[in-house]
This record gives sequence, structure tokens and C-alpha cells, in this order.
Amino acid sequence: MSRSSRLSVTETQRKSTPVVKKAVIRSRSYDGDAFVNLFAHRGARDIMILDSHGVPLRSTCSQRRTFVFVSNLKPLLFMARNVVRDLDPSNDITFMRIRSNMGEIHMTLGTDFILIVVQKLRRLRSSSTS
Amino acid sequence: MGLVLIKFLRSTYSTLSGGKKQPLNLSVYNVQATNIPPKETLVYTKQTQTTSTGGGNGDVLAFDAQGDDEESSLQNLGNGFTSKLPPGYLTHGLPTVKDVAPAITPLEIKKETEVKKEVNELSEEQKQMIILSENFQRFVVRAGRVIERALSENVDIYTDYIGGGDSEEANDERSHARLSLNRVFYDERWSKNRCITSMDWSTHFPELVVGSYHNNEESPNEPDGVVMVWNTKFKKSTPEDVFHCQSAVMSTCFAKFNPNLILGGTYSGQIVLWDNRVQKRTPIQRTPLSAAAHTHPVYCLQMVGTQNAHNVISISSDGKLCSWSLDMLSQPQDTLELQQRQSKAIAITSMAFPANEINSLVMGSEDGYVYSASRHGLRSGVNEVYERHLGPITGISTHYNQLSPDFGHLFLTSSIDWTIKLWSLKDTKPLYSFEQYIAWSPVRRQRPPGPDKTQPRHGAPALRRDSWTPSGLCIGDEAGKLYVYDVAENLAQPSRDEWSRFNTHLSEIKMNQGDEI
Repeated sequence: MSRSSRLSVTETQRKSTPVVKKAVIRSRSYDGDAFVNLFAHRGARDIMILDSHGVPLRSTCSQRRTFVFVSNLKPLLFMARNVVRDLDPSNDITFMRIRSNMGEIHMTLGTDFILIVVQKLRRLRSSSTS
Repeated sequence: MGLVLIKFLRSTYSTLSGGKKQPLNLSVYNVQATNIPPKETLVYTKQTQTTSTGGGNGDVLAFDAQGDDEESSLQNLGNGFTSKLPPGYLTHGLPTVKDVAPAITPLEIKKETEVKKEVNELSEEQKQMIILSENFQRFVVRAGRVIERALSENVDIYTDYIGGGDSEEANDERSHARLSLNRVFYDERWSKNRCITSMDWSTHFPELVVGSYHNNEESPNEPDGVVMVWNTKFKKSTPEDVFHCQSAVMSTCFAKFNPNLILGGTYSGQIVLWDNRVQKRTPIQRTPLSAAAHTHPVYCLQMVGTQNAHNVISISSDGKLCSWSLDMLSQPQDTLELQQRQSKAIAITSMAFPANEINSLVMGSEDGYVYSASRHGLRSGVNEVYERHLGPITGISTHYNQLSPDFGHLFLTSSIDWTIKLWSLKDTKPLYSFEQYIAWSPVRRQRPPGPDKTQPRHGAPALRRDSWTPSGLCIGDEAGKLYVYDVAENLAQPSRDEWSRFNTHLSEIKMNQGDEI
């Protein structure tokens, strides 16, 4: 029972995404898609935009991958915000960056939305030579 | 003893008869058979009690005995309940378990469904609403810029500096070359097929450069005028701001004393004002198209004055000079018709004010002559006419006389005849003639760009504009690309004896001219 319902939910979610894209394309009030294309050109692999509560709103990758990232990064983001708030209540977090061997994750935390960009890491010549 | 026995028997009979009806008489007899032995035993114990107390007390005790019977009967009933309680509890327990189990499961199911509904609501309807809201769009634009800056800075903090030859080579290359190409600003969407008409640097943010672009002939539906602000500090390849105008923008400049305003002079004669704090790309203010203002293309636009008293000076190609206040663009504060002696309009193509000067200015015209003019005073209008270039003048630049007042009268002009001439305000003949573009270096205050720009570049399109910066040189071409060059330190920074050497050089030039004459 639960499995079938979950599958139906995912199906509805998948169906809804093209509608959102069409709506965005129709509005044309901002070049939101331009930065997506540009990021892909720059080497950004995935771009996700979350709600302030951690609910994904837009994403360039599949639902599963988005949920994997969100489920792992959401507690980290909230904990980081709490850390900054606890150290200084008048302060607030703005940007986070997780850098690893294979890639890095950039997170921009706004008051209402969260932007996550996953990027492949280009190896520099010096590193390749060394 | 027998009386007591009879009384007890009667009481038992009465209770039995009162408790049960006639159709149950048969069962009553059976009950008698079952109940006699235990009651007889009880009676014996009570007889012993009555004999111990006495006759009268015996009656009172008899009532108590009846109570005891009741208690015993209650106890029997209790015993029956206790005997029934285990099965009773079992029977009650079973339905309670049954009740609890379905009571919990539907709640859980409801909770699960509620959670799913919330997710569905956010994912389906609210998603679309949130994405199309203005707040979301503003966040995307701002966060996108931040991410781009972060993405462009691929600083590898794990760089191994043991192999430092590359950096040494780079330093050698830089020190060897006086000009090195640093950046090329180009946007596929807005720079394509648009030639650069003007450039300016911001005084508040020295890393920002603004460039205005002409119309794109291949896509007539796009706006004719485009202005883009580029960032030379971060390595992002997209503009910080993009502004539109319905008419081609021929000149642009940053508002010198306001970090958020950008001015543009258009082909239609309007002067437009953009504000980068506003999300729109269209101008927030513009001057009217009236005879009181400009009706020809505005090729010269500049802000002069101080923090508390500054004006926008604009000159259109019909020789009309207007002075504007940023607070009121609906009507010019002052106008001046720049005419020759024969009352003929001068087609001004370039303009420059000497440093810290708001009254007198020098202008280059389409017919090749150079004019100096004053805005106010007894001699308002064109004062001097200098010898002409063989072609239209494309650029004019005055010296930055911040340290030495002796060179404040010098200015340079460039023309389509491929020459650059050095002039002095005191003489109508050029002091010297170069073969390059011109612009005084704001740091190196005496040296023109010099032979560096004669070096051929890869696929060199026609260079349109150039602009010096505190750290380098900025060049715009007709393909819409904006090049930023780094200038070597020995070229950009003047040494101590530069002034005297320049003075000696000027003297030599004058002596040579004297000899020629």
C-alpha cells in the first residue's frame, strides 16, 4: 500500500516539473535559466534551489539525486546556521563551501531560499604535474 | 438452639424465594441441596458466638449474623467475580487490544497521509507560486552572482610550490612585456554583433567598468541600446548588470558621486539614467525629446564638479551643449550653442575637461578641427580653433595635472587619419604627432600609450574606444569584445625623474619645431 502510494507521489512530482519549466519559460521575467546554462558551461554539475525549510523547489538533476543531496545537506545547513546564531545572535550565515578531492559544493543561504551548486573540480596544472 | 436453626432456615428460604421466581423453583431445590453443607458449617461458628454473649445480645448478634450472611454472600459474589475476573479480564482485554490496534494504525495512516499531502502541496502548487514570485527571482539573481564569483575563483590552496618555475616564468613574461592581455569581456546574448561605443570606470568601485553597445542589426527585435557593467576583480564571465534602452547608447558614464547610477547618451538625443538597485533593466529616468534639449545623437557625456555641486555635461552632434542636474532631467539647467564664426553648427564628436575644471573644455569635431570653449563668463562659447586633423577626431584627452601644474595645458587628440597629436592650450599648432590612439594614463601622467599599441594582435578588428584605469588599459572593438590589459609596473608607475625628462623632451620638441620653421 505505502509503496504504491509513494510511487504515485514520485510520478506526480515528475509530471509536475515540466509544467514548472514551461511556466518559467513563459514568464521570461528574469534570466533564471541563463545562469543554469552558464553554470553548466562553467563546470557546475547540479543546481538546486530549496525553500527556507529545506523543500526542493527547482533542480537540474533527478528527483532521487536531489533528495539524496537535500537529505544530507539540510541538517548540515540548519546546524551551521544555528552555530552562527549561537555564537552571535546578530550574525547570520551567508555562504558555505564544501571542498573535496573530486568536487565541491557551494551553498548560498538567503533568508527565504537556499541555492546549492555542485561542481566538478578541475585539476590545475601544478597539481597534475606534482 | 432449634429456634435459631429454624430462624436461619426461614431466612434462607425467604431470600431464595424473593430472589428467584416461580418457574425457577425447580432450580431452587437444587440450590438447596448444594448450599446446605457450607451454611451449616457457618451456623455452627455463629452459635458459639451467641452462647458466649447471652440471650438478649443474641438477638442483636442475630441481626449482625444476617449482615455477616450478606457479607458472606457478597464475598461469595466477589469470589465469583474474582473467579470470573480472569476470564472477564481476558474477554475485556481482547476487545481492548482490538480497539487499540485499529485506533493506532489509522492515526499513523492519517499522519503519513498528512505528511505526504504537505509535501505534495509544496511540490505541486506552492512550488510554482514560489518560483514565479518576485522574491524568488531576486534571490536567484543575487545568489547566482555570488555563486559565479565563487565558481570562478578556482584557488587551489593545496598547490605545491616546490615547482615554482611556472610562477617565475609568468613573472618574467609579465616583467618583459609592457602590456599583457588580462580579460576579454563578451556575452553571447548581449554582446553579439554590437560594437562598443563608449566605456567608463567607476570611482566608487574601481573594478567595475561599464560599456555601451550599439544595436544588433541581425536581431531587430532586441533593444537597440545595451549597457553592461563588468567586474574585473572576479573572474566571472557574465556582466554584473545589463541595462536596456530603446535607442542605441552612444556614450555612457558612471555617476561620479552616486555609486548606483549610470548615465547614458542615446542616438535619439535622450539622456537616460539607470539604477542598479532596481530590478528593471529599463531606465528609471530620461530626458524629454524636445527642442530645449538634444535632438541629435549625444556622443559626449561627462560628470563634472564636486560632491555637493556637480552637473552632467552633454554635447550632441549638432553642437549643442547642455548642463543637467541629476535631480531634474526634465529640463536642462543651461544650454549653449557651439557655433563657428559663420554661425555654423559644429559636429562635436569628443569632449574633455581639464582636471578639476568645470568651465573650460576642449572638443574634437567631425571636420577635424579642435575647439576650446567656455561655459560661462564673458567669453562663453567657442574660444579657440586649433589646426585640423585630416579626418574626423575620434578621441580627445586632457592631462591629469594633479602633481605638476606645468602640464595642465596639454591634451591629446586622435583621429581617423591614424595620427595622435599632442597639443597645448596656449598654441594652435600641435606640439607633436604620434601614430597611436590616445588617453592620458591616470597613474603615469605624462606618457601616451606609445608604441605598445602598434603591435599587431591576433585577428585585429578595428579598435573603437580605449580607457585607462588605475591598474590597466581597457579597449573595446567593433565586435563587441572588451579587452582589459595589464600594464607593467615600470610603465604604469612614473619614476622620480619622469617630470624633468618630460619637460626636457617638450623643450626639445619645441626647439626642433623652431629649427624647422
